[in-house]
Amino acid sequence: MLRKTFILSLVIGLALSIGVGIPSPVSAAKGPIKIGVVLPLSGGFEIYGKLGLRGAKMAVAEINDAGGVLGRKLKLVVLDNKTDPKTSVANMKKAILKYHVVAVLGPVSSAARDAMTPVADKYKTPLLYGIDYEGGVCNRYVFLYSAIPSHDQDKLIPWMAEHYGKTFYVFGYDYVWPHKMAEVIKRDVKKAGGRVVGIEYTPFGVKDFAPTINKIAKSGAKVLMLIVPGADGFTFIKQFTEFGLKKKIKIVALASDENYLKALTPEQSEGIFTALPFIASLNKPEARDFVARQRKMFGKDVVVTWATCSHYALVKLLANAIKKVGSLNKEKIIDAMGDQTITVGNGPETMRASDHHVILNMLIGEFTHGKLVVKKDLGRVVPPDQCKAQGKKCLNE
Amino acid sequence: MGKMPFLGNLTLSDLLRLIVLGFFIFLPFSHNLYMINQFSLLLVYGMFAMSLSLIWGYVGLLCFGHAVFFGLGAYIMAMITKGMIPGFSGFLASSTMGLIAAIGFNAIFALVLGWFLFHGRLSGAYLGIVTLAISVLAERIFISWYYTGGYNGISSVPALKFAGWELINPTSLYFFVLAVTFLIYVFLRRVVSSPFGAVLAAIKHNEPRAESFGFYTINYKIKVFALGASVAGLAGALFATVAEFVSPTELGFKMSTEVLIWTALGGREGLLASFLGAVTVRLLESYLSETLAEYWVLILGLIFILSVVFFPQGLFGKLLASKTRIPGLNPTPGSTKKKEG
Repeated sequence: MLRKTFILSLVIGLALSIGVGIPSPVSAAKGPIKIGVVLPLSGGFEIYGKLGLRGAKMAVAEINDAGGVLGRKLKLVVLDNKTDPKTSVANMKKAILKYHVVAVLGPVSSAARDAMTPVADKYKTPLLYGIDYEGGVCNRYVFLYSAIPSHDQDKLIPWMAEHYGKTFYVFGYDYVWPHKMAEVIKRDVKKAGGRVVGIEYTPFGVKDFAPTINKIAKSGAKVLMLIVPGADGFTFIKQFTEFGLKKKIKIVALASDENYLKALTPEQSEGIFTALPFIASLNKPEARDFVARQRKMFGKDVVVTWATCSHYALVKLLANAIKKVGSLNKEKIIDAMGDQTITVGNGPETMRASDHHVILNMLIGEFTHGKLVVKKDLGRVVPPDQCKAQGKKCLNE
Repeated sequence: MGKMPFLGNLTLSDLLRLIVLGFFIFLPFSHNLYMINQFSLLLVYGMFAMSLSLIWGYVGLLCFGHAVFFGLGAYIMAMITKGMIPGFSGFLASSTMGLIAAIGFNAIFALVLGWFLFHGRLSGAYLGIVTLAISVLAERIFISWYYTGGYNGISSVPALKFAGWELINPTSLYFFVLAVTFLIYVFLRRVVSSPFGAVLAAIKHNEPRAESFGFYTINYKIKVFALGASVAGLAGALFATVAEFVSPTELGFKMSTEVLIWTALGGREGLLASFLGAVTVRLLESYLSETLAEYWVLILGLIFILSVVFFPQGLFGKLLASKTRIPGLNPTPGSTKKKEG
């Protein structure tokens, strides 16, 4: 009797484990082609994650309306990474092992991207990244539709020095990306014949910036390089405006975009500068068209930014590559991803096969009267090869 | 039947234990790689929850910063196996050394910390606040410490390797983690049911009385605190190899509160109940966060409140503490013998 019970409970355990463990029936050949999306939809960087997701959704909808890829529809498998590297890793594995995705789109923070890269390597699955970052990645499995310092800060800093003064103050979050950007800024300011008069880092979630603002006011800086994107950055800018420093000191807010118009009043956002590959108010037919399509799909109040464009472009490039290859062979898709040129919101942009980075058309933008307007069109910017720059072999060799 | 004497007293909770064991043993035979991967991590979280249950549920020490030990274990494992500690090479940079160091360092750290905390007569909420502060402090240190990757953490932690045998296959890794978890469970059960455990229970229910019986309670608390920390460190070390990744969040505020929720929800006064709490919450999270996105946290909050109100012993606490015998399945020992004979 007892032996029976013992066996019975083990059998129940077995049954449960089969119930949980059995893979959902995979109709790999007939179902949609799945693309994983591991973007932050909560936890701090959700504004960027949601922008990217809207871009990806529009690309998928347009491709599916035009008949899909290889006669199959595309489908996004969306998994929130909570702005957290650990969750990013877990969800990337989930996308690959559970949903058998052909590629993963995301994340936002460099921390999460660096954490996910080994997963892309291990499971030989392309990781498609669409956020501006510090540069320097050279990996067969990572594609970066990003503005790197060669695109933005290297152009913006000399321009700021020329127009507003040669003394700079750097204020950033205390993690890897701001530290690396501070190095870039120091180099660029020196090149422009200017001087960095102060560098300061802050932890996440600070609410009172008065001591920092006092220091900046006394430093004699003409330009403040602000590397505090998101909610804390808004708090800082509000307090900075209250101190009445806006007239004396211009702000370059890294990673700032049309979102800032929603979070700040016109007075608060006045006089903030940024360098971007796309600005929604850009007066070009493709820009107007892209914004109109976004509004049609997501409502007329939807915020459209560069992050929307980059994620849209990545899905398009992937779909083109799959079409070219004619199968879901990931290695072949990776080979076909490179050296494609695509026009999204601001002229033709090229994904290089040699380093998986993009040639972009850059703009200097200024926030004024509650709008983000194009101050200067910098045109085509070809960044140095990110693999060669580190003495590594090109990815297509 | 004589080979299984423990079955002589089969209760509802024993049955549940067997079901859980059966579940974990048979899971890999489903050949679902994703599940095997996920459950390796769930086992690790479960072990972490058991370590908190030991000091919170069995002794009443509310440690609000328990993730410090988990995170330190993970960092130590990652740094040793990646050869990031200067002078540590060969055996000193092996997985075995990583596991030993993660346990050992945490034991010593917790002994020292415990000495200050418990000689300072900290208890209840004060102990919680101080341990929380330590956890937040540790997180800040690791965010600012560039050698360990700062906020980005350490990725590509190597797989476990013992004497040339590398646990690269997810199924063998799973079974290894399962075996360790099972041994830790058996070990902790022996601890809490030993005379040492009896003193711990006495401390929990009435510390001054336990003291008046001549037990030097501070020493008992320091010891059990160190034991809990070592187990958490072991769980952390395994986490580093299973997740192949460590970051400052593993030893910070968020992880500390998460493990409290797992333990409280499962039932802090039972090792297996806490273990199941961790597994359940993480599984729920995995499924619900996909369908409900950010709203899943609301659901978790709701479940937590309901469980505190309706199941103060946790979702599994009462069930697993149950001494009810299963009717019809438990003949008197005498009759069993007769049948055997």
